[in-house]
Amino acid sequence: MIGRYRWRGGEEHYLRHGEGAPITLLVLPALFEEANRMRRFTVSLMRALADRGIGTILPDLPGTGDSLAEICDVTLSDWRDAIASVAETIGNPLQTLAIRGGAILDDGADAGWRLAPETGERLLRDMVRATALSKGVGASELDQLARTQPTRLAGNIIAPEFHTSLATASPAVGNYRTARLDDDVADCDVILSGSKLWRAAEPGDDKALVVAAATDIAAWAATCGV
Amino acid sequence: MRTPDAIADIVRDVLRDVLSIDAKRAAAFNADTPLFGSLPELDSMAVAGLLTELEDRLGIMIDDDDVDGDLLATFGSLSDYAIRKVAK
Repeated sequence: MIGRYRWRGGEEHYLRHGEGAPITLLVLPALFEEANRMRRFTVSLMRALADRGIGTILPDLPGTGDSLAEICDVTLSDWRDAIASVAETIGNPLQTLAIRGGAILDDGADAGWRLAPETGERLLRDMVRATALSKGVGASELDQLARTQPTRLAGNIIAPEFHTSLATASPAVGNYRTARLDDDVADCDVILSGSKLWRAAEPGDDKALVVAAATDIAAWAATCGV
Repeated sequence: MRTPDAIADIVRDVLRDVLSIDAKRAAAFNADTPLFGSLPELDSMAVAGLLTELEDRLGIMIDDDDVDGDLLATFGSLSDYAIRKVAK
């Protein structure tokens, strides 16, 4: 079902699956262009978790999805405040499910599960490079510009303040279980087989990865100790 | 020490994964196969992802100053660049 939540900047929608389940995870989606590529997977995963008795809430972050806010007016602290507001509707303890860049936003969790967490710096770099290539300008030049004035990066107009805070935002250290895909070289707790949908040129789904992730999340949610 | 051919194969694998193309089509890439601007699957966001994947799998850093259309012009230009970066 679609619901609404209020935060200090206004009202946003969220998508909820598995209402009434004993556990509800706050879903922190992939960010920016990756959000589009991961949307179908994310919703498939939420459904698979509902089938396993786990509820999920996926909020529209201000400036994304059906939000009326303009992304150019949004800052990272707006996203954090919005997430804190959704978290209040879930109550304690807070368990999160973060996908890719969503992991820079899960630091309020008592326990969290992450899929291929990514830093803000690397997300920004992808967006800067993509924009530089499509416009035929230098990536370092564009990066400098984006630090001083609102700049369209891969379809999103990012304000300098947002850019600066993203550039230094990293997933927090704490009570997190990290999953990565089999050819990923970074540290993790579990390796899942699947395709890097956030890299694919066309948005897609990966049914086997949905099942593998849902199975691991269900086992983790039951035993993570919060 | 990875040979130039082994590095070119990694470039080919990354292209195959990022573009979701079949192994047969990727195996047919040669030095003159045009990439950016010729492959419809290779939009600019896919290119950015491609570069990040190459960095991760080859353990290299691609300078932002090197990121332009020439780098991605052909399979040969991209794999030659990767081979030079790994050798450094």
